[in-house]
Parts: sequence; C-alpha cells; structure tokens
Amino acid sequence: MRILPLALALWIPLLSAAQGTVRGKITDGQTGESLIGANAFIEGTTKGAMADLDGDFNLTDLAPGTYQITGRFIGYTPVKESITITDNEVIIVNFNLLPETFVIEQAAEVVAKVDRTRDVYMENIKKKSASSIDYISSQQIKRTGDSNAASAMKRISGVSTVGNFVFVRGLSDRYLKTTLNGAEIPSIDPRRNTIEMDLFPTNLVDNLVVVKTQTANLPSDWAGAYISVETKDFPEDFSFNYSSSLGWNTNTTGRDVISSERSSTDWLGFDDGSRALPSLVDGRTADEWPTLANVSFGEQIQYLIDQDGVSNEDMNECLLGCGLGSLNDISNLTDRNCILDCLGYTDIWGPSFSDSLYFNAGIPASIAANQDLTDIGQSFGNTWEHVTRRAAMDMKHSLSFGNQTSLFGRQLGYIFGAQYGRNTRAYQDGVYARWAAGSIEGTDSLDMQNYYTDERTNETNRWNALLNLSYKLNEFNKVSLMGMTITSGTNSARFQEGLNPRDGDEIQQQRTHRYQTRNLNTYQARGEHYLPAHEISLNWTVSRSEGQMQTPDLRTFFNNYVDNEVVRTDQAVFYDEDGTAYDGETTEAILGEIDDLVSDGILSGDWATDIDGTLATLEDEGIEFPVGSLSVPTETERFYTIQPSRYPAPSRYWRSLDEDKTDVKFHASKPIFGSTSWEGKLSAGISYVRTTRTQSEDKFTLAEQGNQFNAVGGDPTAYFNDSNLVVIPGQNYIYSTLATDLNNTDEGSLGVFGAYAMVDTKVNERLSGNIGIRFEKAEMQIQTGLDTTDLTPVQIANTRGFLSEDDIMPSVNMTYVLGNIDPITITNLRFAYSRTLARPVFREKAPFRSFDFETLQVLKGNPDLQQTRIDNVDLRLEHFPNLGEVLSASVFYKRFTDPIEQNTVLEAVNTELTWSNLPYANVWGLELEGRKNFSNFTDARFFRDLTLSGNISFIRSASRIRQEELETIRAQNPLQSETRPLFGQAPYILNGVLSYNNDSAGFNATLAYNVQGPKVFLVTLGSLPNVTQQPTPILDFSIGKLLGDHLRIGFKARNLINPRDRKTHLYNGQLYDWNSFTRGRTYTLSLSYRI
Amino acid sequence: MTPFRILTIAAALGLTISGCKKYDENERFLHLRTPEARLTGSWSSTQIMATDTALTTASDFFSPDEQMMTATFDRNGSVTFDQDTQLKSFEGTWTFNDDKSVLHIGELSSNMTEDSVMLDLYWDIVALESDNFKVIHFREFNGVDISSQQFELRFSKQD
Repeated sequence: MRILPLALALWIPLLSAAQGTVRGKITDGQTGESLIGANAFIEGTTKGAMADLDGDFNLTDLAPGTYQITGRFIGYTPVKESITITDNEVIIVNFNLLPETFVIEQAAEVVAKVDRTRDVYMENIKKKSASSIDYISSQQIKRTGDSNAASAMKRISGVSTVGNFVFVRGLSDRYLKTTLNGAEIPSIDPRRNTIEMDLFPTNLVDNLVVVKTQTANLPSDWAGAYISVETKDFPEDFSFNYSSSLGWNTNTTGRDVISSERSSTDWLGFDDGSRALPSLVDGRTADEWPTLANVSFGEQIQYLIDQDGVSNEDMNECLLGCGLGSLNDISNLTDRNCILDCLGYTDIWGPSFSDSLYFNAGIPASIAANQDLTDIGQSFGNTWEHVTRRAAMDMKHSLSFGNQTSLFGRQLGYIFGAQYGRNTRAYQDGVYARWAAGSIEGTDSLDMQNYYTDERTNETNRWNALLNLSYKLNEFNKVSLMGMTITSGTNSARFQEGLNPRDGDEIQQQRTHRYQTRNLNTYQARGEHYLPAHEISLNWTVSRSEGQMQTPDLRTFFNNYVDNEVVRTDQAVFYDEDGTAYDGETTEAILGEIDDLVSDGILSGDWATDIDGTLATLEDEGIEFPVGSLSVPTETERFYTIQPSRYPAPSRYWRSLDEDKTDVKFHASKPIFGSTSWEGKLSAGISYVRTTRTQSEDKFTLAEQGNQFNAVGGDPTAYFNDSNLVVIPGQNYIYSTLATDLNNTDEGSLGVFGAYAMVDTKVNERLSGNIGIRFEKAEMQIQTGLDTTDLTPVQIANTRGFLSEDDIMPSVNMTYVLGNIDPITITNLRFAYSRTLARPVFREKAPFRSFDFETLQVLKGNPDLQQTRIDNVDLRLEHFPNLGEVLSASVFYKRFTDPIEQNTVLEAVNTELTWSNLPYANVWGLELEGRKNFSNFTDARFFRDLTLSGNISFIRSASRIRQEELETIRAQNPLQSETRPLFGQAPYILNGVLSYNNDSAGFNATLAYNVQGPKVFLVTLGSLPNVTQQPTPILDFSIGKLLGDHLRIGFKARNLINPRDRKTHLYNGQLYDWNSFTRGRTYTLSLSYRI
Repeated sequence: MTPFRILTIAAALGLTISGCKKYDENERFLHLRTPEARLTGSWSSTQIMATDTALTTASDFFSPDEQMMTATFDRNGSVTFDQDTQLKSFEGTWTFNDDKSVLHIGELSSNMTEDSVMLDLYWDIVALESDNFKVIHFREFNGVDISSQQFELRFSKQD
C-alpha cells in the first residue's frame, strides 16, 4: 500500500506545468516502424527534439502561439503540421513519414487518407509484421470505452472471451500464452494457463496484441496464440480515470443463496485466521497423533482412589478381602464383583446407573485418557452447515492515472491503477450426474450412477494495483520498473441432493465448503537501449512473480437418508364387532394379548402390516375382546446415516501452494544486408525462466462411533456439537483422524533456457519474411514429501516426476504482397511454419491424488506426463480495403505429438480423473475474418459510425487413442473410432461484433455474439461417451454515453441468451447431463470520470 | 491462379487428406479412391490365423480349421462369404464406423438351416489397398454371446 502515496507524489508536479508541450511519434508510413533519430522541430525557432528508440519525441516549454512543426528523417519526405498552443496544454502530433522514393501522387493520397492516430502505427505493424498478428490499440480502446482488457480483447479478430479468460481459434488456454510487457506471468487460478484479462484497466494499456504464428524471439510453449499486454510507459498526456459500477445477476442478486461462514477480512480477499489450522493439530505427524485409549479395570479402580473419594485404607481392605496383596495384582482378580461390592459399586454397564463403576470411573477415566483426542475434535470450528444469505449486488471501483513529467531533466513516465471489486454468483438449478454404459449389444441407454440437484454460490472479493515507472536516460536509453499485486478470495458453498442408485435407493446429500485466497505479486525491470554507432537495439527484461494460494478448511460432508413408513402399533385402534372403538384400557389389554401371541410365534412381529391376517388369527385364537376391525396409523420417519464405505467420511483439508517465477530475457537486433538491395534485421537473444512450486495438504477425517447423525435429525451443526466430540469408548462419539497423505505435499521446479537467432528480411517490395530458430532446454522435476526409505524402486518412481527436453524449433514466416502496393489498401499472402511446445504444468505432473472441489471427484496427477510438440502450418490471405478494415481467410494445420488430455483413470475402482498423453493429434482449420465499416455504402451518419466485425472458424481435429485404451473401449463399443476430437478443441467458432461509435456525440454501443461448438471436456472409460461441453452461445450488449467532457455513463448486459451450461454424454442421440447449470444474465451500470 | 483459389484448394486438400484413413501398410499418404470404393469387389482369403486363443466363446463364423473363403462386397452394402470347401456361405451387410477404422458386418446369416443365428462381425482394418486387404477380426456377436477371439485375415483382390 506504499504505492499510492508515491504515485500521488508523482502526479502533483504536473499541476505546476505552465508551458505547452508537443509530443508524438515518428514512424515509417509504410512499415510502421519507429524512426529512431528522426527529428521534430518548430519552424523558425531553434527548438527541436530527436525521436527516441520508440520513435517518440517530446518538445517542452513552448510559449502559447501558433507554430509550424516539421517531422523529418534522412531519406524520407518531411511532413509539416500547424499547431496552436495555449497554456498548460499537451498537443499530440504523430508523423508517418514516407520514403522519398515514394511517388508524390501516392504520398499525397496517403496523407489524405491517414488519420494521424496511433491506429495507423498499429495498422502498419499488422500489415508489415512477419507473423500473423491482430491487435487493439490504445486509441481504439479509448473510442470504444472498454474499461478493461477483457472487454477490449473481444474486439480482436479470432478472439473470444468466456468470463475474463481468452480463447483463440477455439483452442483451450493450454495452448495460449499471456505475457505482460514480454514477461511471463502465471495465472492466479491454478486451473488456468493464462491470466484473467480484466485485471488491466484499459487506460494503462498501450496495445493488446494477439500473435497467431510463432517467431523465434517468442517463448515456444504455445500453439494457438501468444497474447501480449503492453502497458503504457510514457503516456502522451495526463490521463485519469475513476469508475464505479454496480451489477446484478439474475440468478443471484437479491436472492437467498447458500453460503459459508465468513471471516472479518473476507472483503479484502483474504482470511483473518478464523479458518486457520487449529494450533493443536498444526504440525502434528502421524506418530504424534493420539490413539484411542480404552481404560482397563485396574485403571478404573485406580481412578476411584484418585478422583472418586475412595480411601487407600478402604481399598487395601477390599483388596485383601478379595485375596489381592496390592492394586498391582488387580489383573489376577477373577471376580470383579468381590472388590466392587466391597467398595460399594455395582458392575452394571451403562451410563445411567449412578452407583456403577462404569458411571463413576469408567466414563470419567475414559474421558481423561482420551482428552487429547477430544480436544483435537473440539478444536475444529463447527462450520459444517451452510448458512443462507441474501446475495448483495456486485460492485467494482477502479482508479487509474498516468502522465509523464521531468526528473533530473529527463522524461519520467508513470502509470498507476488500482481496482477493488466483489461479486456473487450462484445457481440453484444445477444438475450433477454420473452415468455408466455397457456393451452396445445389450444397452440402448446409459445407466444412472447418481443424479443430484446441484446448488452453488461463489462470493469473490478482489483487488489489484499496478504501478509502472519509465525513465528516459536519453533518447537512446530507457528503463522501466513495474510492480503489480493481485489478491483474490472466493468463498464457495455447494449442496447436492439426489439419487445414488449404484449404492442403493437412499437419497444422498453432499455439503462442501471452500475458501480460496490467492495472491500474486509481480515485479519487473526492463530496459531498452540503442547504440547508434552500431545501429544495435538491445532490450532486456527481468521479472519476478510470487504467487500464493491458500485453501484453508475445505470441508466435505456426505450423508444419506431414507424415508421409512413406520407403523405406529402404539396408536392402533381396535373396534368391536359392531364397529365401536375400544377404550384405552381395553386397547392395552388387546395389545398385551397380541404381544403374547407374537412371543408364542403365532403372530409375526410385523402383525400391523397384515391387518386381515391379524384379524383372522385373533379370531382363531379367541382373545378376550373380540376384534371386528382394526386400524394402525403409519407415519413417515426420515432415517439419516453416514456411510464411509460408499463415500468419504466428513473431511477437512488445509492446502497451501506457492509458485514463484523468475523470467530473464535479453534481446539484441541489428540491421543487415546494408550493401545489398535487401533490407533486413538480425536478432538474437537468450532467456531463462525458472518456476518453483511448493504445495502441501493436511487432511483430517471425522469418524463416528455409533450413529449419532440420525439422533440429531440430520443436522450437521448438532452432530458436531462439542458434547458429541467427547471421546468415550463404549459410547457414541465422533473422533478425528489424521488422514494427510504426503503424496499431496510436493516440491518442484521448472527451468527453461532459451536462445534464438532470427532474420527479418525484405527481399523486395513484395516479398518479406522472417526465418529463425529457437533452442529451448527444459528441466522439470517434482518430488512428493513422502519418506521413500522403505519403498521399492517402482514405488519411489511414483513419487517423482521428471521432464528433461532439448528442443530445436525452426520458424518461417513469409509475406508476399499481391496486387497494387499501397500503404492503405494492401493484400498480403502469408505462409508460416513453426514448431512449438505445450509443457505439462506442475498440477498435472505432480504425483498427488486428492479431492477436487470442482468435479467432487478424486483428481490425480501423472508424473509420466510428457510435453506436447506442435508443428504449425498457416496459410493466410488478408486484404486491407481501408483503414480499420480487414478481410482475411486462413487455413491452418497443426500436428500435435503427445497431446495432453484429461481422462479417467483406467485402473481406479471409483472414478478418478487424471491427465495423459495421446500418441498424436491433427488439427485442420479454415478461418475467415472480417471487419467492415459501413461508410462506403452510405453517407448517412449512422452507418458511417457502424462497424461489423466477425470471424468464423471451422476446425477438424482428430487425436489418436492409445491402443490399450482403444481395446478397452472396443470391448464394449466395437465401432469406436481410432480417433476422437482433440481435447478442448471446438469444431467451430463464431464471433460477431456490431459496434456503433459516434465520437462527436460520445456515444457507443456494442452487440457481441460468440459461440463455440461442442468440445471434449473429459475423456471417459469404455463405451461411456466422453463428456462434452455443449455450445453455450453468449450475447453481450453494452452502451455508453459521455455526459459533458469527462463523465461517462455505461450499461452492460452480459449473457443475454443465458443458455444452460451443459457438460454431457451423448449416447444414442440423447444428451445425458454430467453437470449443468445456468449462469444467469448480468447487468452492470457504471459511472466513470475520465480526463 | 488467384489467391482465393489457392486458399480454396489448400482448404479442400486439407479437409480431404484429413478425411482419409491412412490404413496402408505401405504408408501411402494419399488415396484417391474412398475406402468404400476400394473395398467393393471380390476378395480371396490368403491367410486366416487365430491370433488369440484366450477366447470366451467360440466363433460361429470361422470353422475349426479356419477355412479359406471368398468375400464379395457389393456397392449396395451387402456382402457374401463363400467358404471354399464346405459349400457354406454367409450373407449380410457391411458398413464402416465413423472414421472407417472398423468394418462392421451385420445381419450375417448362413445358408445352412441348422445355423439360425444372425452374426455381427467387427474387423479392425490394418490395410485396405487396391489389391491388399488385411483385418483383425476382434469381436463377434451371435445375439447372445460375444466372442472376442481374434483372427488375422488377409485377402487379395480377385481379377
């Protein structure tokens, strides 16, 4: 929290600025590249500034007035602009210079068309980039009013977002990589590979770039897209943004939803310690865990002396009377009653006999002997039952500002952003089911294993802050420092209830609670340098990320109940032969006679269930009071049980995960081919990324002696009352067991060394390209905390996972310009080939085996998991008809060797989930993209402001099933294909965005639609079809309006279609829910103040 | 050739190649004829060999001496097997599974009156070339019992 005062201190100097300033960027109008060393100067004065290594210039201390400013560079046609400066004003002037060889007519046309904004720079970068890239620039973000990167990303071709996560070409995030200023940052969600994009306020973001084809200078572990978030280093002008929003979700807000106990600091995203592991059990090993102590007869006798007032004299006398010399001989006693009679106690067992040894010594001595176990049980919080809360509205507050100022006569740029938000998401209409299939010859439907209603609530509080400082040592040297912190806490509660026919016809209930808090701190230092004498550009990045995730007191509580019809014989009514009911006394007498008949075996014990038979027997036996008819009322009685043979006993978990990443990168580049007609640049670099992980899990189960749960009417809170946790052997009680499995405690590290060399070349005005080669050496190891001293070599191997790979990965990107060569209207044909990788993450390779809150099943790591190698081929035709418009068509092919998928464990008795490699997979795709402005069709203002963009991809994927698994499946389903779709790959993706932006009115509206085809979510066993995520089309709408110069009001509606999110099996044309629910529609109203 | 034509051809070629099943002992990358077209016609068995004796139920299709046979696959989806020496023949239907890796021969009945059962045979295709057809018979269902005894069958195309 020291960041805020520092940021405010930096902000203050700008208030005293008194002179005008002109800032801008000088770029090559054809290539978009920065023109380092170019000049901007004020005509008729001596004032001028050199463009730095970003092409940026900064002219300060300009008195108010009108000036002519010229941008010029050797070999380029100068461009002159007229500006007028008033006090304290920053004017932005960007120069896109064209080579002098460029024909005058063309240059004039370009100047006429070019809107001198940052868009042009990025547009040219895109057109001229060696690799296929898409982007959204800071200018575009500013126009659309998107408040965070997740919203802005949706406007990039080929990108779709689900929640705050990004998908490109329908590939799961395993095959995506997100970097912040070129450095890798881990996700704070361990289930995700990429970081949530809404962490970045858009006024801190310079550009969002999505790279779809690999170049050697990028890390290689991605295949779908490399997403680069670039923060602003030197904001052109002072910017300030404060926004607040309120939101409501139709499934959640204002409703009574289930929840868990909160701590006093949950609102800050972390626990205050109330969920902490009790000190009594913290650090206790299995050897230190108390065992159940049964108290012997001698110890009970000793207790009478110690605690119950029996004197030594009386005791000795009784011992002598029973033939014993001392209390040490008590084990030789053959007649317990001898000594008990002597001392005045009975030997009757049972807690209610006040003169018994058991009552006076057995119980208290047992309590004392097991006090440690009792204390442990009582030290855990009694927080098993859900609480019900009225869900509050979502809210989010965001503050950010940035500017550049002068420090020691040099430019200092700073940006700061902070956000705080909370939201609650719940569903009450969920279905959670598991199914089984048999041989196809004997089955036409799936067999239900269990089918539960599913209710869930997640309450999330999150805050994050980011500070970036950049300092220009001179025009050719720049350094930046960045710090970012993210803290997030989610309190989750889940309740399920339903049939479990696999285990019987009883109803099963499942209560689970989880609180998960995550913290990620990232620090970066970056430098960019240019050596003009040698024309060498250098840049380096050192980044350190420290992430922690704590899951204190995850609780699972499963139980059964059954509703029994109970015959109330005590309420039986007997009628005489005239139909008159007998009085109470006579009824008692008849019941007595019936008891006698039951004792004699003439009537069965359940005589009340066979009225006619009973009446006939009574008549035959000729009882004293003749019974003409009888009625016996019944009532429903619910009977609760906990059955650990079917599911885990009540369990509590404490989990902790630390994952740190250090990323060091160094790049250098220098122009080559200086003496030939070719133009080119040679780049080389090295990198080292080291990730370390430490995970631990403590687990405790609570087992019962006797069935206390029914006695308390199925109430978990009453069940875990302290009185039930007093351990008394022979009585009903609940006791705690240490169930920690050291397999789930592990340490691991991954080190990746990378080196590359790459040549960017322009052979002629049509053909350009990039050829490179990258080498990566990866060493990964992970080791459980298990003591391996007494284990066999095979067992020891199962406690460790290794990965040691050296990969040489070539990449080629070629671009050929078709048709007319024009900086605005241009058509490119691109070809790209590259080899990339997808390495398993620690979570997948760790040899752990533990309960997963999401699937409510056991999740198991696979130490044998190998990395995936991917060969990527792209052919893309792109046409830029006008500024901001694009039409493109791509075909791509990806060959995955050893792709990873999540599947069920073949050998497990109960369903367990793990990850495995498949031999290979092929992915073919056709991708069509377009962004079109309607201004060409009409002069109407409305259509000029309307833009339609969209993309559609058709993808065919096939993963080869392992032979062993194929044979297992074909044993039940002989028609099983040899292949199945690549895990997580959708067969089609459709994105459409219709946006209306009226800059002059400060009004914009966006309608966005996204749908992805069904994709494999989980690979299942045998003939049971795989679990597939069904399409969940998303329709979002947003509208925003500027009120005055600075105030903006916005409204967003998300998930308007609100489809059911279904993960299903498809069998014989019917969908069987594996898990399904609806997310609800979310509406958000926001107000922001922006300068 | 226009760029869009290049892309169209590339896309079509990609989808075509990915649609082909490469069950080819010679590792040929591309077949111009579909698997259905290649299968249609008469084939003579050149080898029938039991590869797995750990059977659960004996085969109703193969004779104990694993008789040679002639198989005729018709374009309309019917198939006939004529056993060479026993004057026994079977008639049924044939279809491929989704990725054409398994040949399903169904509704297979014998011309012998004592054989009243209808059989389903499942053949894992190892090779299907213009003159070479090799499969693993891995499953047989006679309406009641499933036989998982495996046979390797090799056929050559009749002229």
